[in-house]
Amino acid sequence: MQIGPEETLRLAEMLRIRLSPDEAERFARDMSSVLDYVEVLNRLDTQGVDPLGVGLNKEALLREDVPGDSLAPSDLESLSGGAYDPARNAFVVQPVFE
Amino acid sequence: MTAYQTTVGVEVHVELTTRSKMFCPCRNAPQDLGENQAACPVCLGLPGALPSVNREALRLGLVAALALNCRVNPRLWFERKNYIYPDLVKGYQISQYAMPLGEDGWLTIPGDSGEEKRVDILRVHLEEDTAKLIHANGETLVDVNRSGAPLMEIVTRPVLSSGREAEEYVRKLRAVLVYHGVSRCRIQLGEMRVEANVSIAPPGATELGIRTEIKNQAGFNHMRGAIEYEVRRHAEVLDSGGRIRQETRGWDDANQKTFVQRSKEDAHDYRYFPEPDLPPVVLPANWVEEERSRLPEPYDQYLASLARHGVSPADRDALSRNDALSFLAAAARPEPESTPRLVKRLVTDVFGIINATGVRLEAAKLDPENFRQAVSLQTAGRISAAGLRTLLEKLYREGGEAGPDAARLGLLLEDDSAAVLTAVETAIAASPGMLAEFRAGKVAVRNALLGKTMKALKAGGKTVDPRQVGEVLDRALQS
Amino acid sequence: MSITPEQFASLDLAATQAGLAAGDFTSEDLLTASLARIQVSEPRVNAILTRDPEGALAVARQADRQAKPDPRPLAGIPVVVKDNLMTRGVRTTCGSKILENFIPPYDAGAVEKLRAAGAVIVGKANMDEFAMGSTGENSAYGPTRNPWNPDRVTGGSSSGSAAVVAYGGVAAALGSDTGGSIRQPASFCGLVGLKPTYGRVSRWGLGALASSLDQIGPLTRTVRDNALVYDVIAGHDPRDSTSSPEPFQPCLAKVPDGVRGLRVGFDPSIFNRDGLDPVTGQTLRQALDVAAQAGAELVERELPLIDYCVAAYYVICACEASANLTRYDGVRYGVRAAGDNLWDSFAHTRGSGFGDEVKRRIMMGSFALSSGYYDAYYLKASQVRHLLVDAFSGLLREVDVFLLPVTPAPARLLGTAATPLENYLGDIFTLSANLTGLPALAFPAGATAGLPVGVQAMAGYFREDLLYRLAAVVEQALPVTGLVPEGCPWQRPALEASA
Repeated sequence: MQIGPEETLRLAEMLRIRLSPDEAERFARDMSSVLDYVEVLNRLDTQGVDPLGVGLNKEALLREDVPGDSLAPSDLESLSGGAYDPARNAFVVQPVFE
Repeated sequence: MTAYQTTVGVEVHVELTTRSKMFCPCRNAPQDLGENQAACPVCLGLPGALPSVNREALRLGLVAALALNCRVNPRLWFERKNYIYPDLVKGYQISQYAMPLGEDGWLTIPGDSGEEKRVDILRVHLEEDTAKLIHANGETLVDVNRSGAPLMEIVTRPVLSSGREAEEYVRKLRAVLVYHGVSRCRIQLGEMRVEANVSIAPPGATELGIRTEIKNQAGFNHMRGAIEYEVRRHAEVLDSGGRIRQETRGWDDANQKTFVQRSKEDAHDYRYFPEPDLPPVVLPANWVEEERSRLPEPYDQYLASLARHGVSPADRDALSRNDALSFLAAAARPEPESTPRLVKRLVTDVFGIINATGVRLEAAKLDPENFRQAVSLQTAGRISAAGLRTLLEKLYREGGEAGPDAARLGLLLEDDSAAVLTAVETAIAASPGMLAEFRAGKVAVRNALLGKTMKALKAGGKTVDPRQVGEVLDRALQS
Repeated sequence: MSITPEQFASLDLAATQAGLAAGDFTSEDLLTASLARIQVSEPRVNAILTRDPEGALAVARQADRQAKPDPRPLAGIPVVVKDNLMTRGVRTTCGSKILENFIPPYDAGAVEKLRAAGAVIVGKANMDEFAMGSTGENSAYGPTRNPWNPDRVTGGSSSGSAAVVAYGGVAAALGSDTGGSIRQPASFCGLVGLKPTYGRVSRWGLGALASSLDQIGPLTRTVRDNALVYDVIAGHDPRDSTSSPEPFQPCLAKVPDGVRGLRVGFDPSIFNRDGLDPVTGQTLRQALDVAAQAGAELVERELPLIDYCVAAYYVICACEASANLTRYDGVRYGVRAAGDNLWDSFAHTRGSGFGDEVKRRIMMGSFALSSGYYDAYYLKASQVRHLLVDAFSGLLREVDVFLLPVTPAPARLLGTAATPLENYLGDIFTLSANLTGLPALAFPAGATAGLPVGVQAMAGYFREDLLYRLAAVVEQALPVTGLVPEGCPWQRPALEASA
């Protein structure tokens, strides 16, 4: 499977990752070679094989609806590297327009 | 203008009333907390955080699926819905896709044709809510209190034919969900959010037209107005030879029109895949059956039973609008014949207290069982009508127990026939003029005598049922 | 009485605990020696990203105040944890620039267990960025050099965890393994490294790479040390829904139980594989001979579906990783780059904060999940994975333990250009344990020109005890284990080349 630089840039745009044109070309080549390689999976017949349930836990354990502790404002401040404004009790970002 | 046929589908999101969030133990109380007070590694999307499924959210979802007549999938799983937005802390929402909780359900509404119409519900599934964004002064503030809160999504098939039917559907859906205690559905608080998909097609067409999506409705009447506007707008576009553009629109209520919104979900490939951090959820058969058996009578059936009990349409409507139906159902359950009495007291006394205090029923400390007991005290003559109002006010504000509180408040009527008879006779004897007037036909004198008797009894420290006193007085006056 | 850094470097946990109990040295002495050993080695090795001397000192002093003998299994023992394990109050970068300033407000489950066991966490280990890499060269903070030979890679992604144990900065470190990231650096650095059964160790607080493949495990110089640390970190954690509720049986006491009567499987066709370094084959034969002499029954069996592992793994890993790394946007934590608007800021943050391999894998994973490709890639790979699970279940009914190489060749030179695909193909022997969830242990069994060479054992679910028993037998028989490079890191140690 081949991916070109344009497709790579489109992917990067959707994933909000800035790429230079040079990176787009390089990554397109790298990804194409890996995607070509993984075609080898098609040699195996997987008709009717369940893609789920490889995990060892066959079913989820459910959590009782008991409220627990939350983080303190000081935790939010220290983890955020300045993103959290304690004066307004909020993480502050540039505006988003609907 | 061509007469087109209208097709509407409705998607509703409902916040479930659990104490903790969907995938973490943080408190689920976005209304009650200051910003960012319910944050943890999970609902903040920190590295290394992992989800765990809230049993009660699952149960409420199950109750809703059963109440909406869905087929419940006993082995269901969660999936990641991937997209980037600042209110989506992980860059994906844990939702459901291939195997939702419930499918192929329905609700009935009064259709446009005048007949009862069945609205097919495609699916009911569970997911988590996003954080809240507040736009202020050239910045956006992020509050994660709501991030990870339990959400239920209910999607109809495109079977509604008008804005009116869509409104009937969401009103019915809301009533059913509130009745079953799944959510409070307070639209103004965002506990119920509705979106509609609208398309039109020439009569007899086999394919649906291009649809537009209407989001962020502030209320049911807004949704109806928006749908009706869109239908007209689509018709105008098609009539003039144009094509409908598939887009998302909001409703401008001030100007009564829809407008194009830049939606965060426009043209998105969500790249759904099963959530690797959560094994499938298996619902044991006995759990599903247990919840099914614990369901109250279906909503429509309950309303019909109220009609049979003689509850007027006006009262039924008042009960529904005040979200009092499930309260009534719970109160009446031990003694269904008491329904009309309970309705009367609810609609007069309790709604009066709601108006006076501003505290809604679901926030009150009065529970259905104590309400029932208080009313039976009055029915049995143990307390007066005025005494019942006093008792209900106390229970409403502070909670408590009907019997002991009635006693503590001195509301219990004494059954002292001797004292009553004495007081009646004394009052009559002390007012020979009144007795003469009564005998002469002035019936109103009876109430004056009653008042005098009650006053004397009260002065003597006796709390008696005025009805009882009235009966004794009437007998005395006859003789 | 105290202890020099060189003395400290060669002590295993049993000797350390004996010394503490006898009063030969204190926990604070151990910490001082550890920090000194790290200090002198780091300029050349670059294994440690963040040191926490103050936090460690407080814990060491507290351990010294406890009455002896201290029942806690790691009381006063200096350890290091990989920098993708959350440590409350101590910077955690996952080897990436995008988390350069991130200080977690919580401990990983495995870290909580280390602390409860009395361990002294000295620092955070360097690693390939977000655990993507097999050499240690993908770290945003510079590569880690192999203490046995500084021109060589340590292997990855638990590069720093392996190197610091190898040069004797600590006797035990925690790493994580998604496709071989504990076992491979263990092999390249002469260590014992365990990837436990999936779900055996809580992933709570492990910065996720691939949710269905990641596990945390110990790296140590001896088998017994490894079992001791494993016993501390294993067990159910309800915060991790993939954590197994299967009751845990400690392994330490079973380590010396030997291999008499055990069926040890191997695939003879491996010796003839293209690209298999002769030393790798010889090392495997050596280990098999030791097992046979110790009473194991050797059984020949084909390694099932080995040539599909790389493809299945890289699709699943890339897909899960692409979603797991979307949270790094600078909104709530981590580095935030400036932009003309919010979306511009996101693109710049992620564009400059992520390295090449991370960007490639995110994009490839998103591509493979996208509409129209999901069935051909993620769905297909998941089905192949299921086939692998079934095939290995069958295999492990016929053998108790399976022996195979860790990598096709020993540690290569730093800076050797290789395409991403070439790098991925080097993981061929380690991937099946992650894809199936089976436990696997790498341990030293040979050497070549001054470089250690390891071998790998796999067993049935929750049978880590069998792995340790086999590794202990080989450890006793071969002279290449438990060594620390002399005068580390720039002098070559006295390792005998294999045959």
